[in-house]
Amino acid sequence: MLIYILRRLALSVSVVFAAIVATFAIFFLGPSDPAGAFCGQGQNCTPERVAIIKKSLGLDEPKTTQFVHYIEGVVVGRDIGDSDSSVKHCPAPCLGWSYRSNRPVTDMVLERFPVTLSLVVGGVAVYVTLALLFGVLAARFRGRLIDRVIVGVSQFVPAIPYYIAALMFYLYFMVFYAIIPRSSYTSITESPWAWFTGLLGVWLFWGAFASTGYIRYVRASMIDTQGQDYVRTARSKGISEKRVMYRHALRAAIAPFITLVGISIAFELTGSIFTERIFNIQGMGLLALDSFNTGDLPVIAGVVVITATFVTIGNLIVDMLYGVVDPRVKLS
Amino acid sequence: MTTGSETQDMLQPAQSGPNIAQRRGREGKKVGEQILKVTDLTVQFPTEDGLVQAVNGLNYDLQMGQTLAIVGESGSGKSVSSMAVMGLHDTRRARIGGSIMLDGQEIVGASAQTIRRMRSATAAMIFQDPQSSLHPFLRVGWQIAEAYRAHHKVSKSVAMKRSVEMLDRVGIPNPARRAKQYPHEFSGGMRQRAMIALGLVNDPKLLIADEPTTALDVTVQAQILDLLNDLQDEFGSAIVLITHDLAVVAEVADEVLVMYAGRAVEHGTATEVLAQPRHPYTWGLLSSVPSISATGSSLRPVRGLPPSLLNLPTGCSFHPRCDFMERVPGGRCIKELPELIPPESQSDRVTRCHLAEPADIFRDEIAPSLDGSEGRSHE
Repeated sequence: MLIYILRRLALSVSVVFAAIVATFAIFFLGPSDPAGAFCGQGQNCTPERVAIIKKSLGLDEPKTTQFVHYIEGVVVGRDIGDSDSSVKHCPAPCLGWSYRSNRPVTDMVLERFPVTLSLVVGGVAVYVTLALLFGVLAARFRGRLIDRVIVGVSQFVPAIPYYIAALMFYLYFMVFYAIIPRSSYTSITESPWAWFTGLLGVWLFWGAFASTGYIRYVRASMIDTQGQDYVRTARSKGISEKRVMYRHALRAAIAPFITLVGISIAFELTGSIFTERIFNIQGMGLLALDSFNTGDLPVIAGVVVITATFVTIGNLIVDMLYGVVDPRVKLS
Repeated sequence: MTTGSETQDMLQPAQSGPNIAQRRGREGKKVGEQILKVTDLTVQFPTEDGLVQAVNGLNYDLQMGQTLAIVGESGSGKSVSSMAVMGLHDTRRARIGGSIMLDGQEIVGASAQTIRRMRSATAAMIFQDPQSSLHPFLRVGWQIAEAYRAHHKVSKSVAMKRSVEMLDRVGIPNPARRAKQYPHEFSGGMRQRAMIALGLVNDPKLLIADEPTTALDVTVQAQILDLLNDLQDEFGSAIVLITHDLAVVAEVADEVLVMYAGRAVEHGTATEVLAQPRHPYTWGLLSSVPSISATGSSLRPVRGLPPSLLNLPTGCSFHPRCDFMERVPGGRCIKELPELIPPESQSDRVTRCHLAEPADIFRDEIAPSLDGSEGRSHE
């Protein structure tokens, strides 16, 4: 078990490294002008000044050297700038220096990370709950009215564009009728209650919207397991139908669902950009969006690398969870 | 130099176990007392293409300590009728008619509660494929203990003790350790033993074994059959054995019911049916059993395919595949469904066939060509 985890961790490190290489290639080898962005659009920005900035950021060096410096920064940290200007120390893991904010990218991203993590964990918890609840309900009353309603709604809802649905939800439930507290983010360490109430609306909306696809998946999976021989065996034992459903059929149906959720977490992390924008939650998605607008490349790259890291960790957790649910999966 | 009469001798059911009268009885139900009576059972499945008539007017009864073999091809209704005894058909999808009296209790139309109480406690079922019949995510011991706890108000540890005891009883070595393992850690034969332990954990009066050896190696098949035989002697329960393997029938059955397209076509004691079969379909089944000893005789499977249950042939359902149709004058086989009636004077032996002299045809034409080909693959 321990060996398995260590091996998977080693694999995760190489995946993250590959993500860094890809990110660097995409953002820094392209036709970008970070020095220009750093310099700004004003009259102060003369070609001479751009050249100085270039030198101080090490952008005049060959790309390969820049890459080595970048990796060096991630592993041990590095100093940015030369003797001409003030030298800035960027501690490991250094993902570069923000041109705009004049701060280490790592600090900026990690500051926003708990925000997005809160958003995703809450949203996933809501949609997993809803998917299991309604999926099982629909399967249990297959073909009956309740099943038709659940399937109908779960087909209709995803047909609405996410951003329109989110805006309407925000407008009606948080502004006009104010049933749900208006979305905001407070650190959980600061005030758990404010953290909870501030994000509740977002979790509910996002979770409910995302659950629709998974409801149909759980329903199909439950219907499939109900036809399995071992469910028939369970039924022939003389245990209650409820027990057959939950202890036997659902137990088997849940295994592939866990994999699906694991895959979806990566997707949700990326998708949080819309949610954060609409509900005005200052998470990583908004950080990336703002950085796009200002051309702050190291920040965008940093968001990508951090996201890749946590997706990898998430997958590792899901794989281990799968081993707990299905004893046939040997973690070695 | 094998002759027809030798063939018949070899088809006698094995007399290894004690005879029925000597078998130990049990409280409440004595050996020989009726446990199951199926009367005019029909099972139909309405589908978009029409009505599937899976079982059509089936009658049989069974006494404690007896083994009834139900024989037939896939789709003959043997499994479907037995699932009806266990109340396992979804009542929204299946239409069940007639009567199933199990230990004095009507099963057809009974409440979910009644059926739940009966399952495993009065009648238990062992399924064909032990690979897929045990839950892959749950420990074997737990699965058996769960069935015990469904009918006994005992603590988990008592139920688990009972579970280990049952695993021991069915010959699983190291049962305490095995109980904590998952089905994938068991071999095929061990899994079927565990299924039998699960079936017998509540000491049911009736055990339905649906092709219990089909998915197993030949060597393991014999062990499982022996185990079932031994356990029947010990528990005195009645067994319905569903199979298509006549070698298995010869070994363990007291009575044989041959089914074709949802109907009984021949029914009698194992000795009679195997030694003097009177229905062309039974002849076909006998001719298609392979043999190691047979010299040069080829297998003669029943030609054609089983009929669609959506659209049964007119008259005798077997007529499109029957080689003896011309022997019945007036095309009666096509026009008229034969009744399930006793031939000559024998009253407890019934056949559904228009042929006038089936015994003669078997003796003169079928038996010589069987040539010892009744394949005792279990020995």
